[in-house]
Amino acid sequence: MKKIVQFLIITVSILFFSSCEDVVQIKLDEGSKLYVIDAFVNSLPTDQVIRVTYNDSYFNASVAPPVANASVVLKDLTANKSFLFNYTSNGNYVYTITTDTLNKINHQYELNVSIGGYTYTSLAIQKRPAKIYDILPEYNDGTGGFGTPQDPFYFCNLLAKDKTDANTDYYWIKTSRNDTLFNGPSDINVSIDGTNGAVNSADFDSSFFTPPVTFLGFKRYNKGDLCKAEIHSISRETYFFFIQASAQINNGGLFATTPENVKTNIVTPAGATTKAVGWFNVAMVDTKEIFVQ
Amino acid sequence: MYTYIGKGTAYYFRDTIPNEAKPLDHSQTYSPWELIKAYVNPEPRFSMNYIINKTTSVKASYNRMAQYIQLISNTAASTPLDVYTIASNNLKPLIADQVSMGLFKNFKDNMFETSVEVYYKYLQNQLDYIDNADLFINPTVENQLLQGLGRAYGAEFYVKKSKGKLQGWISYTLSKTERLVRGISNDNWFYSRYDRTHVINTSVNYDLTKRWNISANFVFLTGVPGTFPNSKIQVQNYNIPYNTDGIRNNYRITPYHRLDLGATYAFKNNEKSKYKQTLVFSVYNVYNRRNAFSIYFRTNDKNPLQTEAVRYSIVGTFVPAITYNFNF
Repeated sequence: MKKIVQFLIITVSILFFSSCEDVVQIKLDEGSKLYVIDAFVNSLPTDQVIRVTYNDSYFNASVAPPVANASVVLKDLTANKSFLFNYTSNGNYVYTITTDTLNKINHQYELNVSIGGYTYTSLAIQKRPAKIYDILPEYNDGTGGFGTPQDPFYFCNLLAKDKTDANTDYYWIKTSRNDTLFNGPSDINVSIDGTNGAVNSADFDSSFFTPPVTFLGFKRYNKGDLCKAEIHSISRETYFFFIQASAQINNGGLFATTPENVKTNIVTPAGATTKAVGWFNVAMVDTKEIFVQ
Repeated sequence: MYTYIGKGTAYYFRDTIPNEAKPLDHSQTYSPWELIKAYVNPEPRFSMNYIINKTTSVKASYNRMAQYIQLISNTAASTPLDVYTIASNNLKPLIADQVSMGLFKNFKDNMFETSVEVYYKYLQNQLDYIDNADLFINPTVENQLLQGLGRAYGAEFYVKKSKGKLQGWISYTLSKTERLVRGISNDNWFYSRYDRTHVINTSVNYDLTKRWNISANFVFLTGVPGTFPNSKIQVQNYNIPYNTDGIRNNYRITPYHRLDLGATYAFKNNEKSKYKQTLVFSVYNVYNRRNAFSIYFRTNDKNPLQTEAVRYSIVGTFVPAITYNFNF
């Protein structure tokens, strides 16, 4: 009898777990060519990079094909200044920061990317930053939860403040461990007024950032690891671009939705045969790093 | 006649370019039973049956239907999360006109029944949604919805054998279902997500002995259309799927086919007894095909540069079953 029960349990388990997901090969047509302008510049005193590439076949696992013959200029319209980005490699156009950082709250910027006689443009306003006070490591002895006990580790918690007034602020929080940026499909961490952004909390501004955004993606750190967090100020449109991109990147399973094209704030000039997509944002950044002790 | 009445709030939107959320113009609160919007739609129906001779007849019909509740869903497959919405001040009811005609003929003293039918259906005010629509728990969801036309047409062939040791039927449908919605798919007709070009259904059973009966079912369905990305763009090192043509439902998932086999044993019973007992041995999906429920696209967790297509199957295996039937 016991054997029969065991057999039944195994059979039922096989039925449940033998579904459901297989990676399959599909032949997709080659899409038409697009320029992809990846322009997230910020106030940090490091090299600023704008990337111009082509789109790529969906299943191609290589780095996107670069566009090397573009001219990339960023204009601070408020201060009437121009920053020229020079081509290095892999589609990267770099502006090396001298004394002139991009660090001007509420300045309006225009991006001009000229390719083949056409100038693709976009506008952005540099929004005010949030303030990081600290990153607090939290010890975990590894015995909690299910499964076999693991070695002890640390989580890192962000202690940051949002400006408390009627204006809504949007943030993008980037986290890295020992200089490796967490950049996986589930690592897009954006926030409205320091909250998880499920509701627009403009009327409910609590000043301190609240979970889950403060958990920094529940990444695990060992003693001695460097944990670094950056809060980038982004526009409302950029916030929704990330929400949309995240939905498209993580679109799977039983409740997968019909794929949609992410929006772009790059304007393709009239007459240009190749359309440009991508995104432009100028951020103020506050950053903090700690060694996990 | 359909009336959309208070108590409630009705939202009024301004027009915008198709495929963008319409901006809210104003909202108005209505008291209980107050009329917000009324629709009057006669639904004429007509059908005829002309008997040519003892074994042959021709049938034809026309009908118009108005439907005041419609399904909205942007999921890739039908799921319990589908949302229904009713006709309102913003959404007109769905109007469907259908004509069909069929020829029916029996052969060999009604041993074989056969039919051929053709149909054409034209739909107005069919609901669709803008790109990036937020359909769940959204009080102003109506500004994310679009209304357009639909058409469906096809032919159905059917043969049934209803006498003798071997009985069964086979049906084949050839059809096309399309939609036209301003702002979607470059304003061209596109396949509806329910479109299946070929549908074959067969069922046969055979009396092996007095006690044993064996049966088989086979189904074949063309895969439903889905919107697949034909390229990807890299932004901040994230690989984002992108459909450069903007065509909705541009590909199809793999065809669905399945064979089920069964054997039924009828127990010997006392002639006086009212009880009847049968034992059914069956296998669902005999050749263990993993039919795709949907296909979705994802970034590989371990290699963020690698993007892949994933086939999602609900029943990923064959299913044997034993059933005991007891009739009294």
